[in-house]
Amino acid sequence: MPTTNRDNARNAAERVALHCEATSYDAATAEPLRIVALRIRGNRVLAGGALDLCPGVDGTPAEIAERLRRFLGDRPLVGYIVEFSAALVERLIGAPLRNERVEVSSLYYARKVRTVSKSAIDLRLDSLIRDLDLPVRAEDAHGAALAVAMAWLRLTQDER
Amino acid sequence: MFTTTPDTALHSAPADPGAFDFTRPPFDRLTAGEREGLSAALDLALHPKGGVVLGREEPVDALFVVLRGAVQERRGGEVAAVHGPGDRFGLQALYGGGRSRVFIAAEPTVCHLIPRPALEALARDNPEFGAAVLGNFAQRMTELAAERPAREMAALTMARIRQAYLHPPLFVDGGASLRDAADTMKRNRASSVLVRDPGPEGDGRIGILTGTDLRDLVVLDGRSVEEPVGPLARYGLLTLDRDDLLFNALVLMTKHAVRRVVVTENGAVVGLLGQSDLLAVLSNHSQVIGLQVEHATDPEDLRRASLSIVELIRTLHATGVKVAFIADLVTELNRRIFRKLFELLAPPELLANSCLIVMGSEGRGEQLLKTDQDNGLILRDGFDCPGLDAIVADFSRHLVAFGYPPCPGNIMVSNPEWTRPLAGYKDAIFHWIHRPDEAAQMNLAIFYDAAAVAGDPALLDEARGYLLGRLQDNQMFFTHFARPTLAFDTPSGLFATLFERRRAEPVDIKKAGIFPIVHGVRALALEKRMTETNTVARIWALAELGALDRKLAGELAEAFAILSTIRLKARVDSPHGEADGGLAIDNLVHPDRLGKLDHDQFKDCLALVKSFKDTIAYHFRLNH
Repeated sequence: MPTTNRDNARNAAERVALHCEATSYDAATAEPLRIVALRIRGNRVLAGGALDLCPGVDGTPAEIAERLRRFLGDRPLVGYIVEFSAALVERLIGAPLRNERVEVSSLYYARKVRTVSKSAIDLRLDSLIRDLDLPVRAEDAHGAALAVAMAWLRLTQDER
Repeated sequence: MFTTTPDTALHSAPADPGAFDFTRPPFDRLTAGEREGLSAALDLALHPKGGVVLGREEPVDALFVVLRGAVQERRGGEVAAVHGPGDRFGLQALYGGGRSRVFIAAEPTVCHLIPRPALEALARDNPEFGAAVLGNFAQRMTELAAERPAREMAALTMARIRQAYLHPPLFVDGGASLRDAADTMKRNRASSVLVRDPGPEGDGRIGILTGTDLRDLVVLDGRSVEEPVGPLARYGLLTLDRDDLLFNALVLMTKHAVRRVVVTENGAVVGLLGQSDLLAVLSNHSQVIGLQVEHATDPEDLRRASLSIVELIRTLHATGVKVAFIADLVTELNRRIFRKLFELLAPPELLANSCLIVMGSEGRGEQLLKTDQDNGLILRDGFDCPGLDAIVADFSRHLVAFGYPPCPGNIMVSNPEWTRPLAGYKDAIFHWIHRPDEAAQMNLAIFYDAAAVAGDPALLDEARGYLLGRLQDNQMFFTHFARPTLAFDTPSGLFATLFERRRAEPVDIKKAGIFPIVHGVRALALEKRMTETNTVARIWALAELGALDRKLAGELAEAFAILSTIRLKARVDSPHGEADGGLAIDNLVHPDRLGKLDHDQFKDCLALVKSFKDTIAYHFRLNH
């Protein structure tokens, strides 16, 4: 008798997978090129309702900030190097984000460290996708955000 | 950032492993633009191995297409199908209502989800795709209908448009622009608008403009969005009256290859009937039987309606509708048939001065297949009806002809013991309570479950009130009353090896499982003077009162549902089950013939019944 109570309880809590593409990897100086955010609800990635923004192209800075603020709300942010993406979003919004942050590479590390010797854990996003067998290619911000969302689901589902 | 080499780009190897596979029919019929739109609208669902992808209770809002992994479709515990990459499922649940199946991930799975609005928009804009996706569904419904006996189809053809959901009409004036029309559709999430146009002669006409028309006009013909819709709408609407047969609507849609017709009432447009709404009604022919009963003018009409109930149960069960729901529906239909038959036979003064009651499982609303008649008639004190004997004899005789076997204990209106004045019922109740013997016990039990079907329900209320009022807090009485709960042995799931060895032995599911729950719960309910008659309703009411532990209540209700399902399945599947168009009353379940899941559930349920019997034995001190 499979129960769905646990699933129902989870549905209440949404998360946002976030990925930023930028001119460099230095959060202090990098210029954001494209930001993709996807909501995760229950076992689903709401990819059809993705927020996909290119600063400077998709509206004024104020509009971009407002759309980001509304999309993220107070949902926990999930990302690959989430601090980097969050820092760029904070810069665009012009205010610090209080949202909880979840680092998928840390979840992945915590999972692998139980089975593999530490030195062998490859934390690159591509390797993580391959190892978790996710049907996605992180070749742009959209792919990376999808990969993050899927990886988060896979990594947390086994413990549910 | 792209790493794709020209080589892989040239060959059509799947460039993106997450891309939707548009080479699979019917998706290959989508245009490039539609593919792009669909890709952008897709959601994803990830499930771990063993996860429930689509449960029975979950609302379905999307069509699932497997991207990676495999999903098992289970029906009644058996794997009915396995869906691999590219396969789609969930459409039937989306439109059929009947949630028969459970979908379980057989391995870690990723599915694409096509949200219902996106699917319907595509079906609208691309009729070829729509026909392929929804057409399959319509086809299945037709096939299902073809399998039914002719009388069933005859019943189907009686349904009226009035029974279907109508989309409210959405009007724009002929002077409105194409953009206004598109905007109105978008705001109202409609796929078409009706156009009120003065017409060339100024005599006023009504036309229609659909989303497809808009696309063709603007995109293909290059019309300006500022052009007025008046001259562009299509006139000569296909209209039907609200009282027309649904079947005619189906014929009209098929003939003209359209997905909607305009429905009028007294000449005025009252709404639009869509194809999927029409199918929804035609597939739900319980309404049709109900209609047949309402319109019956003689017992023969009722007999036909009554026979189609068996077919209805079969169909509902085959489409996987929950047993509790089937029981509700069948109870309602049975009662309507009883009421109508009584109304046909009884003169008005008898109707006004009596109450027809059904008892036992029929009274509890747990009747699934036709079992023995358990009915009675309470007459108002002092009322005398000439020719009553003939009327009640007729009633019982007709019910036998409808396929309800006579009650072996002769608990039928044709027996004067069960057709008597209220005062006579009170005397009998007094006797049942104060001089309990085995027959009195049983009479009391089934009368406690009675429900009023026709006539004046106040008479039953008074009799039941008398019963509850006469009960004393007499431990001995309840001990007697509860004792039959333990009458039959329940093979225990606790001794698994013993159970395995006895696996091939059939188990009487009624005696071993269902009766102990029904009667144990009935005894507890009677002790609390409850007026509920349905077993599950009693279980929850007892839990409300704290008379039954909440966890146990939940488990009991679930076990009761599962056992009822297994019992129905055993009967429907019984090879020697056909007799007079009915289904054999066979309570034997062969555990070795159950699927693995059913078998496990059966075992768990019996173990629960056993522990419930211990609870009852302790509560009513049956072991002293």
